[in-house]
Amino acid sequence: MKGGATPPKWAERLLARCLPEGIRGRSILGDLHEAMAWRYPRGGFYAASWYVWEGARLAARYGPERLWRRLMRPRRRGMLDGLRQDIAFATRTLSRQPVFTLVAVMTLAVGVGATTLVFSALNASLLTPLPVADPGRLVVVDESRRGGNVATMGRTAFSYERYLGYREASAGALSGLAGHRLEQFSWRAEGEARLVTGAVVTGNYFEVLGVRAGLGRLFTGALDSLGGEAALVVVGYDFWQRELGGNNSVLGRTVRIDSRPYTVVGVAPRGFGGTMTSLMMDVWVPAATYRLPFNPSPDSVARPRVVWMNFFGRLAPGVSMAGAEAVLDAAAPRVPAEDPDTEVLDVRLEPLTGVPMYRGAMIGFMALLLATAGMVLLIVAANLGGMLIARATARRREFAIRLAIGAGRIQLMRQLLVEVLILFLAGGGTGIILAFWLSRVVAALRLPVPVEVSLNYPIDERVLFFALLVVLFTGIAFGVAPALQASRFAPALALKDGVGAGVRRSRVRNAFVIGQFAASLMLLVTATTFVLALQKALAIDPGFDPVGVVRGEVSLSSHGYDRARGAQFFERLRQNLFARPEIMGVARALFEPLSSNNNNISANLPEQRAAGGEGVTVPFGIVDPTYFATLRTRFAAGRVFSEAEARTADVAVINETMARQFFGAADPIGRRIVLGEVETEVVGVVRDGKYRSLREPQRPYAFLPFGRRFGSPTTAVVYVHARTDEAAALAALREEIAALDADVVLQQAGTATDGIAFLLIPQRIAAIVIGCFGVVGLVLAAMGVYGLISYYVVQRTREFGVRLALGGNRWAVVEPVVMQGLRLTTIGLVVGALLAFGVVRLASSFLYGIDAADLPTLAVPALVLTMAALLASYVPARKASRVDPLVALRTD
Amino acid sequence: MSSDLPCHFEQLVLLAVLRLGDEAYAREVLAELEGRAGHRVTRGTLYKSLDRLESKGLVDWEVEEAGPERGGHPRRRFRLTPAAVRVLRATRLTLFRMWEGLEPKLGSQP
Repeated sequence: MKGGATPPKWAERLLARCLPEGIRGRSILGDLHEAMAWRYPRGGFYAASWYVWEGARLAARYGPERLWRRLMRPRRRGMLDGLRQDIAFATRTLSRQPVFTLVAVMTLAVGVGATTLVFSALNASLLTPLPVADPGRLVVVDESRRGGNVATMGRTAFSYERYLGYREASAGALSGLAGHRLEQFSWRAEGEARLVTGAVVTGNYFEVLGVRAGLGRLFTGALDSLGGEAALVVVGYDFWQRELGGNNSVLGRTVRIDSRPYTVVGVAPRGFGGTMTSLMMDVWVPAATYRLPFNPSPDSVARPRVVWMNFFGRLAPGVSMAGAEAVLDAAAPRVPAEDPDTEVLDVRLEPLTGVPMYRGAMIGFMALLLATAGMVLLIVAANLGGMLIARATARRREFAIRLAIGAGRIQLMRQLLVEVLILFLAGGGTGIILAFWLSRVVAALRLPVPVEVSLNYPIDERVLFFALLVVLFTGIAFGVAPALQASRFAPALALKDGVGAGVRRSRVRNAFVIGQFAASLMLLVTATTFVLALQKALAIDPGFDPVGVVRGEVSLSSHGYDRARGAQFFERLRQNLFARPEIMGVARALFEPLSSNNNNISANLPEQRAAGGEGVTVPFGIVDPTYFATLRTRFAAGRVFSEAEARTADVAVINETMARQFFGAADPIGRRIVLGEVETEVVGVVRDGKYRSLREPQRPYAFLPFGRRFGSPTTAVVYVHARTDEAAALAALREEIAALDADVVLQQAGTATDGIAFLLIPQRIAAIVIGCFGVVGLVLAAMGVYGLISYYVVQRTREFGVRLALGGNRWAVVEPVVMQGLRLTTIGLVVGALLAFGVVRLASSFLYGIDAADLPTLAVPALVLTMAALLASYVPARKASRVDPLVALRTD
Repeated sequence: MSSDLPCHFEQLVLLAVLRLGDEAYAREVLAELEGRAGHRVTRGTLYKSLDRLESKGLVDWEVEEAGPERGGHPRRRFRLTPAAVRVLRATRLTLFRMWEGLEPKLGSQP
């Protein structure tokens, strides 16, 4: 080996790095050197190899210890002190630029707050399990049947009798099977009756859920056994606090629910509001006692509400969902279906969740809102990232000086990181506070819906964790990169303020601005699409004029009225209402148009029926003759059936589509159609309207009168046409109902306009939220361009000065500046347009009325953004063109 | 302070250092351990053991500047502290006490 008896240099140097510092390590090196020299006579290569081998073994022995010490030492002494210094320095720097700091913190707060709030809504409605024991073991029972399946709340509806049978059959698979139905009741303790939301439940409802009483006792399964029926009621904790004084005297109190006396036996525990998230129930009533109204009524058309409850159960210990499903499948035939014509094909189990219906749409909706909020946050963070880069560039001289007087690069980087971290933590913290505040505001909102929906979205640990993650992610993605880059430059260049150092940095900044524009365009296009869809939906002619009409459902059957008493009630109500000055018109309908309830009937021409032709199924409504005038439904031909006709003849009013479908161009008035089994005369044709949803295609529809064929209803929707004031008319309607029966309460009461608006709530929320986000995004993106272009102008001031000094006109300066802004904007717009198309397509899959984005919806936001960008780059450009060439040339 | 008592190998190292006197350099200690005690150990083991003894206050060392045969690296000469001598005496006493009267019992064994 070359070098004689000396060890290989590299090995010695490596070893020196692993051995302890100081004499201890050096003496070991010496020992090894000496020992190697001893071995040298046996061959240079041998000696060197021995040295490397022995060195490696020593390195393995001492290396880890030295590494550990090296890691620990700076943390114990220098780092903590350094950190304290860094924090102090960063706070000083930031407070010396209050505008920058304030803008950064506030915009971040908006982004983080919005994202956190949306996530808290998603968390509360989709991620938080029901407040019951072991919610993961609860399952919903669904049947698929041949011959039609009646569903309530999106699940198979069962009768109470069937429940009792099923309960036996499910033993072994489920440790308990319970039934429930969401219902509105009239509640009267003293004074006026009021509407409460609650559930009719089987006795074991609370046992299956594993919920214990907050006060008193809850129902038990014994209520469902023969003779166990008792008129008991359990009230919700919030209801008890809010309406019942919140003290123990409530137990044993008798209240009237739907005209019958019930005894309050208990209060549900705090936080438990039934099995639906965002719907806090006020009362629970046992099915064994309440089921009377659901028994088949003699009403031949109003579908007998035999089937009315949903089942849910708890999986027996050790039984899987598939196992339970198999057991229930085998047991189902022992529990024959309510209707002999239907056959149960199989039984399916699904997890019980707080969102029983439209879960997919809900997830999509929440994801859309979260994505938009996230987009705002990205814009905010990109904006801040741009500002940070600009700031770092402006501070190049400071850094250079600090480097020159001996600050380490790592130290500089650490200090920049601390600054960024402080900014993001301050912004994130403010954002979380903002989210807390906003969640209170949202919780206080009342949606214009018939049932009280709770919008209580608490900020829990999961939400906080999410917010923190979001802050950290954005901080690292948009704050750390600029900080790292800023600390990586040549001090000599920076001191001279050369051009080269800025190039790469402005490339990152350009990317940030492009990203901001893309994201804002996406938000604005999405918002525009939603607003347009909303407008289109509102412009749809529903076939009636909702202005000035109030309505509500009067359900007498649940109060034990029979047909005769019901007819009497409605007749007196009509007379009393006509006597009120507030009211112009009154009408009833069995079901409300545009509600989820509807009736179908088979329709056929008599001659076709005689020839054995199959009829077509058409939806129909049963209404008073005054219905058309009250709701101002316009006639295309013919007239309304009269009161007398309604009592004595089979007559119908059909819509234009139905007339066309059955009679073509011929005059339908006086012609006959077989509806069901009854030959009916067409007396009038009304203009087409919407009957099930605003978006449905034109469909045939028939209006038939109460009276001869369908009798008088015990439950109907009452429409009142207000003379002037809708609220006064509604109050009058309520008063007159209470005057006739103090227990009967108007349900789903409100204006017809609200009724239509209710259908569009998701669109409205999306349009408002995304619209707000879009505007915020637009302002931020414009700020981003302004900042970037201003910076660009400052950098080129000298050049502009030269141009102006050489006699160039102002345009020569303005043009390149504005073009630079436009170039970035254009790239951003193209990227954003592509993204926007994707998002809108996604939204159209779960929100009806949203069409794929087209060019016009794209053009307006794109134009707005371009204008904003032009303005944002024109202002600094103009400033540049006004610069005094002498001053410009003197700047360094 | 039983944890501060040297283990068997550490005793051997202490004895080797004591025996070598002014010649107690690492290489010599290593040779002594191998030659007299029949104990072959790696360098690392010896160094670590010496470090440990040093931290227990039983060994210290002086530096000798050394010449080119060591590449200019210094050399450490180890020596025992007074505490080490006390500890060695104590361990020897303990061993004697434990051995006392055991000879007949061992006699039958090989």
